[in-house]
This record gives sequence, structure tokens and C-alpha cells, in this order.
Amino acid sequence: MDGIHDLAGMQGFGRVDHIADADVGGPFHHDWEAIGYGGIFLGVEQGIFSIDEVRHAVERLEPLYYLMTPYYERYVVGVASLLVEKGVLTQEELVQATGKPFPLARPALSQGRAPRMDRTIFAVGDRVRVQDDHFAGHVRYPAYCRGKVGTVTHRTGAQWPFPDAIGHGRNDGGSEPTLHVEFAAADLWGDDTDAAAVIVDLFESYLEPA
Amino acid sequence: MSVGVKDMHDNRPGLPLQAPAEERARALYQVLKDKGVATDGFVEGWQKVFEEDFSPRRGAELVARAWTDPDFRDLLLSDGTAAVGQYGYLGPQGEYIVALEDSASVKHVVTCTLCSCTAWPILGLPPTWYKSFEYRARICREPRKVLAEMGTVIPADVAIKVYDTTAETRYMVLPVRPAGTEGWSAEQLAQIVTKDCLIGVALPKAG
Repeated sequence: MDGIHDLAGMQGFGRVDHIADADVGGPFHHDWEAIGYGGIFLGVEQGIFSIDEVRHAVERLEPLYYLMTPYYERYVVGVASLLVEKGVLTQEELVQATGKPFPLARPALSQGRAPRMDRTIFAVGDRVRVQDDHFAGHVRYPAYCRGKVGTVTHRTGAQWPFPDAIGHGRNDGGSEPTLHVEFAAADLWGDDTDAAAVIVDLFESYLEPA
Repeated sequence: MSVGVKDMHDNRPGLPLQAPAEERARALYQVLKDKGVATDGFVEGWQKVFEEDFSPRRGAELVARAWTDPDFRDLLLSDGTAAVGQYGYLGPQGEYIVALEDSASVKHVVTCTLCSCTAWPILGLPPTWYKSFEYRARICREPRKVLAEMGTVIPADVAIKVYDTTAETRYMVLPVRPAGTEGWSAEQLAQIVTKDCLIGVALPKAG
């Protein structure tokens, strides 16, 4: 989906709040922050949802809420949203536990989709084009490479379920390798870039011969 | 200016009425325990793994080995998963590993522009800045400027390649071994390889 999470290349953001090698402490700054990630493992271990569904739930947060809500909190809300959607618990139970509203993610805009049946098998060195589509469900290609042509630099030796399917709880995602596709930075950003290349890890079903 | 999320409080203008994040997180966990879905200590068990097992010290150990053992370096670059597997360091969000070798002409930087994917078991969980909107928006477009702002100046004749972690491959950068480290042991070398070096936004320094 063309969601608020797909930030890459947006102009106008300021400095990254970090100096290289500065001490940033441990992974959590408050104990409660582990509950979102713990909830992901709980749901996956018990077969309630997949990690891709969690990613999609976070992407479905209302855009202003997404931008104004810190990272681990977004995962708490994403996990809670999925658990409600799956019928494991109810929003009312969450509201009762805090005595205040417990906002959740917006409903999915799509039922998801199966991978294409006619995907081409690509090899290192092939020129490929990322399909130019605007699917409203969960996808794992950033918008900046949509329709762009790049060169395959790696084909994974492992396979994974197609995110557009498993991200919606579907079991028709099959499994497929991903390809590391190198794009010349100028092909993505024109002359407003100081990168040489950007390499994106793309499911084979997203790609077409160029 | 950054959005300043860390300065905001709950019930900020523009957000719906809601309990503070900590109260909602603990409420979620409690409801799951009350229903018998989560066992006592489930989250705390994972928190211990996140804080104690997943560590950039592991990645540093791999880099130091690659700098001192050409056969291991070749394996790390040709089959990162096998190399990391030898150490028992594969795990959640670190099941398929590709190492990116810097050279005198190319510098590699890792990001996840869509959210936060990182090679957890060998780099540790991603730091706040890596997950920030500023890094996600800018690093794939103007990495040289972003790195310079962070204090890492890349020479103009070195090309910067940015790897966007958008599927299940998890990356680690294999930096160039710095001059002045001749004769160092692997243990000494590992000490100069930081989490930021493994992400690619810092360079290891001999002194």
C-alpha cells in the first residue's frame, strides 16, 4: 500500500539524532517496550498471525497517529489490533483494563493477493523491472523502485512466503526466493542524490524482464 | 527540525484520547495472561534474549575472524549464513545473512526504509536513530551527507551503496581493516568493531 510508512526519499527531514559510535544504551529504554516484540513472538508461536501481518497492522495505523507515535508503542498497538481482529481478545477488554480508549489500526483495505502464476526465474546479472502497480494491501517493495530497472546481484538460496498473501493471513503465498536488485541512484533520484546505488531485496513475483 | 516524538506526552493534540503507552502495553499483556494466552514471564524471557544474547559483539567477532582468516572471509562473503551458522549465531531476524565487503572504492550502508529490519542476533536490536523517520527517509538518497552529519566523512572517490532491508535477507557490513592494526589479535580487532560499523555508518579506528 502507498502508506505513511513508505518514507524513503521524502525530502524535508532534518538531521538524524545520532553521532556515530555514541553510546545509545540498551535496546529498551523502558521495560514495557518489550511487550510489543514479545507479543509478536507470542502470536507467531501460537499460530495466531505471521510477522508480515504485524508489519501490515503497523502500516495500517492512521497516518497522523503513525507519525506521532514512538516505535515500540506502534508495535503494541499493531499487535493489539491483530489480536482483536483475530478474535483472541476484544477492544472492550483493553478499554476496561486502562479505563480509557485504546485506539487500534484501521481495517485492511485489501484481502491480499496470491503471487503471480507466471513469474520469471531470474539469475544474477539479469536486468529486471519492478512491477508498476498500486496494490492497496501489504507489499514489501518501497515505492521508489516501482517501475524502475536494475540489475540482479544476488539470488537467495532460501525461499519465503509471498508477503502480499501471508501479510493478510492467507495460505496461498507459496514460497519464492528474493533477488537483490541494484538500482543506479540517479535512476531513482535524478541528480538529487549522493549515493552511487541502492540495492533492494525483492520477491521474484515483483519483477519482470527489462 | 525532527518531529520531537520523545518530547511529546500522551493526549497530544492530534491524537485520540488514550492511556499512556506504558499503561496500554501492560494492559495488553495482562489481558493476554488473564485469558491464558500468554504465560507469566513470556515477554520477560524474550526481553532477556533481546538484551543479553543478541549483540553486536557477535558481529564484531565475525569481522575480526574475517580480517585474520582468509578462508573464513571467503566463506562469510560467499555464504554468510553458513559462516554465521558455524558460530551458532543464526536466529530470529537473522536466518539468512549476507555480508557486504567494503573496499577502497566502495562503502556499504544498511537501512530498512519501510520500518526497522536488522540482523538481530549479530547486530543486536536496531537503535532508535536507525528506526527514525529522518534516517529512513534520507539515507537511501543522500547517504554521504547523512554520514557526514553523523561524523563519518567518506572520501569523495569512494562510492556509497545503500542496502535497503525490504525482505528476509539480513545484512552486516564487513568494513576495511584499518591501518595501524597489523599484528593485532582477533580479540583486539573485535574491540574496534562497533554496532555502527556493522550497520555501515561508522568506520573502525585503530586508535
